[in-house]
Amino acid sequence: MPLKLKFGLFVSFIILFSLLIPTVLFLIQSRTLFEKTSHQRMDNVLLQVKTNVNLQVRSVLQTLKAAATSYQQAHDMENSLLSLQKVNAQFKTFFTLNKQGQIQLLLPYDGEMMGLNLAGEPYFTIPFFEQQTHITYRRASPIYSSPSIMITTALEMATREKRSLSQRGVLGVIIPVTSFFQNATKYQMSDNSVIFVLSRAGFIYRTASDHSLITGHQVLVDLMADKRSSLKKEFSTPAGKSIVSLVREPLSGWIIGLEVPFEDLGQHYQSLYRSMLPWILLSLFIVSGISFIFIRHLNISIQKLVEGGRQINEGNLDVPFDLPVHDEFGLIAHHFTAIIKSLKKGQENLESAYRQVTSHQLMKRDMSVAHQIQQAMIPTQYPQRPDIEIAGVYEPAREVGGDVLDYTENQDGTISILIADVSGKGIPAALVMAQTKIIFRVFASEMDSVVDIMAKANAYLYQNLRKNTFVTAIYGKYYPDIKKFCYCNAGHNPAYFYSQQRGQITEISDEESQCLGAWSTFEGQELAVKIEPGDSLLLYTDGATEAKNINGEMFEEIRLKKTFKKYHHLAAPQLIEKIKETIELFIENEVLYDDLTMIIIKSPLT
Amino acid sequence: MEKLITEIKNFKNISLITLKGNLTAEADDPLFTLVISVLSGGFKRIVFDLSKVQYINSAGFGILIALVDEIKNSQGKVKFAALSPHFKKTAKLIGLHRFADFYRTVDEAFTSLKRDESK
Repeated sequence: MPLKLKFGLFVSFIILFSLLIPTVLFLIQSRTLFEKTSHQRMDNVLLQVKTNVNLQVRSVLQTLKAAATSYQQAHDMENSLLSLQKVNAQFKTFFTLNKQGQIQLLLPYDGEMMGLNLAGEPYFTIPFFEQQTHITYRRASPIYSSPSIMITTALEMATREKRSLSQRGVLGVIIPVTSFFQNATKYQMSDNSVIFVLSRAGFIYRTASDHSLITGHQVLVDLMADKRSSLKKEFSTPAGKSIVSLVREPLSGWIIGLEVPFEDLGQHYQSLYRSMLPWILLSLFIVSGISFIFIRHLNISIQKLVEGGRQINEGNLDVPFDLPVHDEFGLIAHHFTAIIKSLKKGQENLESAYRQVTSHQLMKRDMSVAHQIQQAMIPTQYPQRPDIEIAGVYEPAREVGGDVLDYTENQDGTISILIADVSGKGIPAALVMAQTKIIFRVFASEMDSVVDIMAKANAYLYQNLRKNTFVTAIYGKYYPDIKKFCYCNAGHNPAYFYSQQRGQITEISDEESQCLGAWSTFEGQELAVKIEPGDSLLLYTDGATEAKNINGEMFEEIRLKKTFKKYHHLAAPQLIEKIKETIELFIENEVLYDDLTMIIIKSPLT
Repeated sequence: MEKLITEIKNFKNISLITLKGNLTAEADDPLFTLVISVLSGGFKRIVFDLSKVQYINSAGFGILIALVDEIKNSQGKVKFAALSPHFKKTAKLIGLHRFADFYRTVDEAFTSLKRDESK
């Protein structure tokens, strides 16, 4: 299940539970509260009806008592009857006053008779009236037939017999019990509730014509048999379940009841629920809307983070996390952006390092190729002739060197020899070295004079070299017929000549020499050395004399001369090798600081 | 390798540039920049005190050759003073002595410049 769905469901459950649980609890509480309130309302209704009845009965009784007292004391029948007539007018009753001054309430039918005896005590019993009156009536039955009709019938009968009763000296009024309940309907609790009165005679008078809810008469009688002043009980009738509350009115002895169907009690509860339902739905809608917006916001944030993560995973480090930094997602995006920046920087560094490594590797490869090319330009074999021995050595200090060593066996039997040193080191010096070798070969093919060749080379190099680059060189030719090496020194180290005859080394300097490529003009002179059998000529670059040992001590010219002299007897190849070995022994494990280049021209002893 | 350090002292119309350390290819750009700034500052007579130069390789001599050309092209005069015998020999070998004057001391170089002025 996707995280967003889980989260959404979680939030929804939280919201629903946080809303529904209080709502359900509220409804349960409200139901309990309502039931409690309903019972209180029933009690209040009964109390109000009871009070109303009590007041009316009390008023009637007082009037009757006054009338009876008036008659007994003054035998004023007329005034007594007037008083009774007032009551009759008010309550539509029919009272009589017998000759003994007893008030007789004639209730010819099911109604109560209310009266006072001579002592002024009220009485309400039917048997009493049945014995005292001679009203003939039809007893109605059953008990559940309409009492109002019965009472009307009784009143008609009583009215009809009034005269005859008066003539017998009996005055009287009849008060239907319903008179006391004329206003009872205003206390109704609900449309289907019923207020009723259970008379002492066992008759029921009620406010509603529909009697279907009234529980059994005998049951009510039995309920009140225990003489309790009030009682409440639930009943199940064919019409449904209802609750009946009873209270006894003390003056009349009537039982006043209120029956309320359970449905009516529920009506209020349902009404409350129905009134709450729109608010609950509205709350749910609002909460759902807020949840939707919230989850949508979360979803967008999560989607952006997921999409960003996916793009990062695919190598795109330019992905923007445009989430505002006002919540945790924004902070995560902010941290993501910082991490991406670091990653990007790391990637750039890595790429840079890779480029450097690649560049270094390429350069190393190029240098290796350059080394091979340069090595191809250096002689590896020297002339094998009986009249002259030539041998050289070339050890570049780096991959490529700036020294030049070259020779050419010319068609006329002469041998051209070039040794040169380009200022500087590395690739620039190597390039100049290649140029120098080529131009000397070219110019040597065009002219014979070594000085002219030098001058021409100087002119070329002056025009083509960088301002601070120059070349020192010795270029010469060995003429075998005269055994002479004729050469020109252009700012180069002086040649060392070993004379077999003198047994010593001579340094052949040229005070007027100048290097090549530094100045536009060249002034040089041709030098000539005759090489007799056993003689040898050593040409070298400063890499030989300036080779340093670990103490920074240079090999110097003196050691070079000494070594040259020591091994002069060796053939040229062995001699040059011995000098090289001696230099290498001197510097031990130190690397050459400059290119080591030497060439020996030796005339062998015959 | 010890880098080259330069010091400048200006005396009237003569600028004394003292070099310390090793004169190699690394000194090319800084030294040229320095000399050009001195020349553009109006000092056309320059004395190089080389007494504290420990080592000069071929590239270093190439720089000196180029400096001589630069100063002469700017109508200036240059004197080298107190170069060690070893390197003086090399300077002579490559022919630098034919295009620039070398003196044993700075004073001698100054005196020579003043003498040139009076001519």
